[in-house]
Amino acid sequence: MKYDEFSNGTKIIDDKNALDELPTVLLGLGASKIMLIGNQYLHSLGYIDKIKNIIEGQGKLQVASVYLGDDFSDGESIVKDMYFVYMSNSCDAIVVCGSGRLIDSAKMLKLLIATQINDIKKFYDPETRERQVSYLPLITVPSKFGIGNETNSMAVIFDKDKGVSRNVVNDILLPDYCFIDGEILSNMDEKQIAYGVMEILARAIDGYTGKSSSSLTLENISRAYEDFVGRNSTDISEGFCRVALTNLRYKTQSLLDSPDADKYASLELTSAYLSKGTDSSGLGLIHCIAQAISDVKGVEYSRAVPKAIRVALRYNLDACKSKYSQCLLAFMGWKVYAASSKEERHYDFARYVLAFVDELSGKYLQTERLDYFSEDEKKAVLNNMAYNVNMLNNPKKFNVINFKMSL
Amino acid sequence: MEYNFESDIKFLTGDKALRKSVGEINDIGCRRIMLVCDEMSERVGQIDDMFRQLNKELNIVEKFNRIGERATVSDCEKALRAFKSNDCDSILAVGKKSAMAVAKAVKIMLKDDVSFISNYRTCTVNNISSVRIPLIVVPTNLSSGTEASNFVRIYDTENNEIFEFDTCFAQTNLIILDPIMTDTLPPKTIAASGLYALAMSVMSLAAEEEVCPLAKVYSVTAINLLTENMKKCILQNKVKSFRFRILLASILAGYAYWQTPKDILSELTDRISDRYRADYGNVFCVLFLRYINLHKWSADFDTDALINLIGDNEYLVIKENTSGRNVVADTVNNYYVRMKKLVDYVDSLKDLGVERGHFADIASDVINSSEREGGEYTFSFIMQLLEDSY
Repeated sequence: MKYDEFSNGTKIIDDKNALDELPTVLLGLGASKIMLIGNQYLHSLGYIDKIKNIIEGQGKLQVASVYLGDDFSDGESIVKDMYFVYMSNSCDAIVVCGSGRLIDSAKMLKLLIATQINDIKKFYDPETRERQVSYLPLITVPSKFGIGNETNSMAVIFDKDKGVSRNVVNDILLPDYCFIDGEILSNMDEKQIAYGVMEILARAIDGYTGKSSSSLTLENISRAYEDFVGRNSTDISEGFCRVALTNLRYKTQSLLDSPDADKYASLELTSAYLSKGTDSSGLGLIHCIAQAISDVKGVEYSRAVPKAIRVALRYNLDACKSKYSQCLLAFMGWKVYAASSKEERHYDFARYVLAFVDELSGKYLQTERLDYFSEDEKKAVLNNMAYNVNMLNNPKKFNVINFKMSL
Repeated sequence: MEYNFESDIKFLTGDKALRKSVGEINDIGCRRIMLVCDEMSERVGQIDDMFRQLNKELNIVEKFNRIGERATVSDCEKALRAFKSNDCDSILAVGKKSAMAVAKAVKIMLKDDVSFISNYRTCTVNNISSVRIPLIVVPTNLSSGTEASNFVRIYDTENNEIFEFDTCFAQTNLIILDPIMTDTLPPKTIAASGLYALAMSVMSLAAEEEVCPLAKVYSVTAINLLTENMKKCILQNKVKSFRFRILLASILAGYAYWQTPKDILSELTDRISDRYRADYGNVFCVLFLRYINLHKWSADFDTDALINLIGDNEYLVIKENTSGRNVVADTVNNYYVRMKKLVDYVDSLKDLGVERGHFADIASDVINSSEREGGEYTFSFIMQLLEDSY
C-alpha cells in the first residue's frame, strides 16, 4: 500500500457552446486582463478573434494582448517572447487556443510567472521545486486532439544546447480549465486525425502498462522524478486508460467515415480525460521513445508515435503479458477476447494494435513512415532517452540489444 | 451549469496518508478547521487514531460530533452556527454518511449565506459562487460511498420532510484514505459493503443516459479493485491492504453512482430504507441483483462496451453464442453466487424486515415521482422487481 496521490485538477467543459462560458469562468477565477495566445492558422480562420470577442463581450474583461505563435516552434524563445508580452501588458490570466508546443509554451509561461523565475533552464533540473508565489489562471482551448497537454501538468520544451526535448513536470503547469469546442477541432485533416488517434492509443497503453513494463532507466535519474512516476501510476489511472481504449477504434472509424463537430469533440474528450487521469502522457515507454525519435530524426513528435508504438509493443511483450491481455478486452471487445486463447491474448493485443496502426498509416500517412535507423541513430535515440523522465529505476533490466532490435 | 471554481477532488491514499496530508491541507488554505464526525466514529476511537496520525499539526478549533444515524436539519444548522461562532475556514469530515451529509450541507449553506435549510424549500442553490470552503474527508470503514459524491440528503424530522441537494458546491476537495482508519470488520459487513460498491459501479456504467466520463472511469476502477480484492478481504479480513482497497472502491463507486442521473434503484431504495429504517446498501444490493436480470436495455445501448469496461476478471462469464446482455447478467450472478459461498450476505427484502403488503404503495409512490421527472418504468415492472427481491 504505497502512498499515492491522485489529482485531476483541470476541469473540462465540453458543452456544445462551451466557449460562451469562458467569461464566467475567467471572472470566477479572478481574471481581468487576459493574454490570449493562438496560432496563425486559427487566427486566419477567425477563431482567435471569435474568442477575443466572447471574452470582451463581458464588459469587465479585457484582452490586453493577443500573441500569435506556432504549434511547432522552438519552445525556449517563444516562452521568452510570451513572457515579455505578458509582463509589458500587465496581464493576469492566460487563455491559449492551439495545440502541441504552443500549449506547452503557455504552461511554461505560467510556471515562470507563478514562481517568478525567468530562466526556463532552471526547470530542466528535476530537483527544482520552486514555490508558487503568485496565482494566475490558465485556460486551454485545444485545436487538435491527441497529445493531451491541455489537461496535464507536464510541458515539453526543446533544449537547444543539448538538442533534446525536456519534460518539465510541475503541478503549477496544470491548466485550470479546458474548453472543448468541436468546431475548432473540426479543422483537423485526416492525417492529423490519424496521428491524434495514435497518440491517444499510445498514452492509453503507456498509462495501462506503466507499472509493469520493463522500465528503461539510467542510474542518475533523480529521486524527484521517480516520485512523480510512482505518484501517477495509481489504480485510478488505469481506469482512465481502459475507458480510453474502449471504443477508440469505433470512434475513429466513425469520425473518418463521416466527420462532424460532435465526433471530433468526443475524441478530444477521450484524450483530455485520459491525460487528466494519468497526468503522465510523458511518463511511458512509448512517449519516451517517440520523443527521442522525434529529436534524432528531426521530425514532429506525432510522426514518431507509430514507430514508437511498434517498438514498445515488441520490447515489452513479455513484461506486460497480463496487462496486454486486459487491454485486448478493452481495445477489441469481448467477442475477440473470448475467441482468443488465454496464452495468446497478449500477442493478439499487440497484433491488433499493430494492424490498427498499419491501417491508419497505410491510408493516411503513406509517405511518412520512419522505418530505417542506422547504428548511429539507434545510439542517438538511446542517449536522447536518457534525458527523459520516463526511465524508471532498474537499469539492470534494460536490455540494450533487445531494444535496438526492436527499433 | 454550476460553477464553483474549485479543482476536482484530490486523493491521498496509502500508508501514512494522514501524516503526509498536513502540508496539502495547509496548502489549500485550512487555518481554522471544524471537525465534523458522528457519535459512533468517536466512540470506536477512530477520531483518536486520526489525531495521533495528524500529530497536532492541524489547527482544529471546533469539534462537532453530535451526529446520529441520520443527518438532520437541526444537526446542519447547529454545525453551521458552530462553524461561524468559531470563525472556522474549512471542514474536516470523518465517519458515516450522516457526518458527510452535515459537512456538505454546511458548505452549501455557507456558500449561499443561508442560515436555515428550510430556505431551500422555496429556492434552489445558487449556480455560481467563488466562495471556497475547503472540505477534507477522511473515510473510515464506516464509509457509505458518499464521501466523494455531490449528493446530500438531509432529514427534517419535525416536519417529516427530506431535503436533497445534488450540487457541485457540496464537492469534497481532498480525500485522505489511510489504512489506519480501516478497522477489522466481520466478513458479512465487508461483503455487504463490497457488493453495494459493485452494484453502484455496474449501475453507473449501465445507465442509458449520458454519464460524466469521470464517473465511468471511477466505476471501472472500483470494479477492478473489488473483483481483485473482495474474496481476499473476506477470507483474510485482518489484512489492512485488502480492507483499504475495498474502501477505496466504495468511495469511487459512490462518486460514480451519485454522478449518474437518479435511477429506479435509488428511488426504490430511498423509500424502502426510509420506511423500514433498513440499511441503504443492503436494500440496494438486493434490488440490484434482480434488476440486472430483469432489465431490458434499449436497442441503442452498447452492452459490448459495458462488458469491456467490466473487464477481464475471474468472474467474467462468456458462454458460447451468448449475447452481450446475458454476459452482463451472467457475470454479476456468478460474482454474487461465489460470494455467497464465502459469506451469507443478506439477499432478500424479507430479511431486511420489508413487508410485502406495502409493495403496491411503494411502487405507486415511485411511479408518481418518476412521472414528474420523466421516468419510464411501469408499475408492473416495479412490482415484479420487488416481488423477485422478496
